[in-house]
Amino acid sequence: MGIKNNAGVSDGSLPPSELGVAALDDHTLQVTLEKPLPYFPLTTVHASAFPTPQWAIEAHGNEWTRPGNIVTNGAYIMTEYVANERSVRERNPMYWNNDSTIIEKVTALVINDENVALTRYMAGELDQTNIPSGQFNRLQQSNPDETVVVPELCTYYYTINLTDSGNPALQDVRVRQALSHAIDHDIITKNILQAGQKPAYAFTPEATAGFTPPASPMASMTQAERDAKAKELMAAAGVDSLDLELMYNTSESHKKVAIAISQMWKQKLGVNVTLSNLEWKTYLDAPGAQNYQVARAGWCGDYNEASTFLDLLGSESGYNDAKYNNPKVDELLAQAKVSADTQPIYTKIEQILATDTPIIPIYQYTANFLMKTDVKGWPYDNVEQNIYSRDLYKVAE
Amino acid sequence: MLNMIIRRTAVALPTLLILVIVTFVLMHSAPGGPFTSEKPLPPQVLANIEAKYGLNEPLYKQIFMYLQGIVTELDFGPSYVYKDRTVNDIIAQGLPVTLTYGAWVIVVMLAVGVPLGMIAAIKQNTWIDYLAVGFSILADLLPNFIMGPILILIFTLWLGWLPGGGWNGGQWEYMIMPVIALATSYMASITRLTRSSMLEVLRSNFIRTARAKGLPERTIILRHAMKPALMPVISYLSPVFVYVITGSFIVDAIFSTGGLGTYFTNAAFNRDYAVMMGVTLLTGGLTILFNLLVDLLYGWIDPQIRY
Repeated sequence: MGIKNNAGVSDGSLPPSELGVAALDDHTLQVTLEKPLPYFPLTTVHASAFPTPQWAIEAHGNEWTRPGNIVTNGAYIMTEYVANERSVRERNPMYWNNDSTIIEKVTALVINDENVALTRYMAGELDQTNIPSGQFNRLQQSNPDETVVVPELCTYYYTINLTDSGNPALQDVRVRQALSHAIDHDIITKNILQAGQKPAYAFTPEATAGFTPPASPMASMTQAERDAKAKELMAAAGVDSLDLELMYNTSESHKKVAIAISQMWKQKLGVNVTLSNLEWKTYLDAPGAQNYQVARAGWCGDYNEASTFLDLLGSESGYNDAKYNNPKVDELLAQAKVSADTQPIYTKIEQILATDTPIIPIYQYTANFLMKTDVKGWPYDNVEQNIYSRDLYKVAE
Repeated sequence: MLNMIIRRTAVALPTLLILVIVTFVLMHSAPGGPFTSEKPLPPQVLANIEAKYGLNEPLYKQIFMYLQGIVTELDFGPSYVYKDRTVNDIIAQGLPVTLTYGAWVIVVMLAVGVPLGMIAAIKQNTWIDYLAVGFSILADLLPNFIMGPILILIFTLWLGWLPGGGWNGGQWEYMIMPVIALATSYMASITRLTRSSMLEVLRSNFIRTARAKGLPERTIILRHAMKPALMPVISYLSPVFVYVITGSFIVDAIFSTGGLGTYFTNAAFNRDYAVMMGVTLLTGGLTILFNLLVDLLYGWIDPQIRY
């Protein structure tokens, strides 16, 4: 968030009192930033910025998050928490805008199996639940009024290891571009995922506020043109046989996408792909240590501004698993931080990324869920999925 | 008998120690750790957290500290994921749930399986026998992970009689489906086991003698045939107990009952080391205890068995 002395306080070289945060009086919080950050207010909606009283933590130690101990300032109070079973929130009479809260009690149930959740929804036990993968089309036909699909602030992409530990052929930008062109994004979204996802040709999703990603040259081509271009690029790079390892974390949906893409690469470019799936924690270690060639990744914005995506490809970013390093991009990212009009800067960055191809954007996520028609007030256009029960109400049908 | 209990306990301790060491080493050799996440922590912050939990110490020292905590304070350590809970808290919440439905599973299994097997044997080759055998074969084809969703479909979605999951403090309507799902296939095995062992006993010499004496059939079965016929069923109870624990992974996942089963899988996925150790050790200990109980029961039923 760019708070003054954040790095120093985190690593212990500065005392906490040096952090650029101060309470001037009971109602005024002053945040001092390292440098001007036009989108700073947007970052404060992230849960990590919510206030927590120090005395409550000191009084209860590790148990400060338990019902009865936890002190929050929202419209609801957590009254019950059974790990892996349920958590219950009830109206907070001390909330400043309590008069506007309508729903008295909200229960969140933990249901590990999405299909069981769907059955329980159908039986009327739940008001809202996610749609299991592969069920979207069927449900949209059988329960059209209850099936909701909204864009989410997330991009699904493949990251390419550009360091020496990666595949040497991938150091050639033409090979990376060829791989990107050979992917038929429409097959992935329309035939495999089938839940309203949009193809991604830029890293920043279209749902992002204040920035319209530029139309990538690839987006306006037909797939046949892209395939032809991909073959040309591959030939120009002088690569006639390539063995790649594609890594993803264990999940039915990642597997389907990986199989489809490996087939596309195989058929169009003759690339032999070995699929390797890793259990989540194992997978988390590998790309970060550049222990991969091509890996599946996804990124969801922490706040609704393009930098939450594009900063990831800055050379200093800890999430830059590609180890992409383009001084021009770094410079533009720095410029954007202090600029009032970021559209041209972000556009330029996206254009450079489309050419350099350190990552291959694949699709833009959607949130799919079922919700009873008597539930109203849902913030459908909140692409960060920040949903507050205080906005919801139920109507008699 | 006391001798045997002492002997078994003496063997149990090193067994559990080996279990702790092997689990500990296996767990720590898996890549990643409890605090690796999609958004990695700054190195200094990670180091602070690891130091807080003693994860920066060499492995042998961690094992020693862990064992010391258990022996001196019965403290199984903190959970790294549910940060407001210790392993003791988690077990205190999950174990009663698992034991409650587990006990019902064993009761239902025996209360249905044994009489059904007995009747089938006594009325061998009649329609009752065929029905019981047919039923047990059918039930055998329905393991818990299939039974669970089928039951939910029937009793929650179609009939609307029972809630589709949750525990809600252990109310009976929340318990019915998990118990049936877990009991069905083993109940079938118990039926067949009882039937075949009863048939064998009914053909043995001492039963023929009893019949020749002119004892009524009822006395023959209840007083003479039942005890020996139940021996195989009793020896079958220790694997059943282990099955109830392992089956609880599935039941907890399908019915969101919040029992210990959930923690086995989640703790492994989350690298929640202490929770993983705690539940493994607990299951190991209970298995040893249950085997001992079954052996004691054996000796009580069949006086020929001496320890």
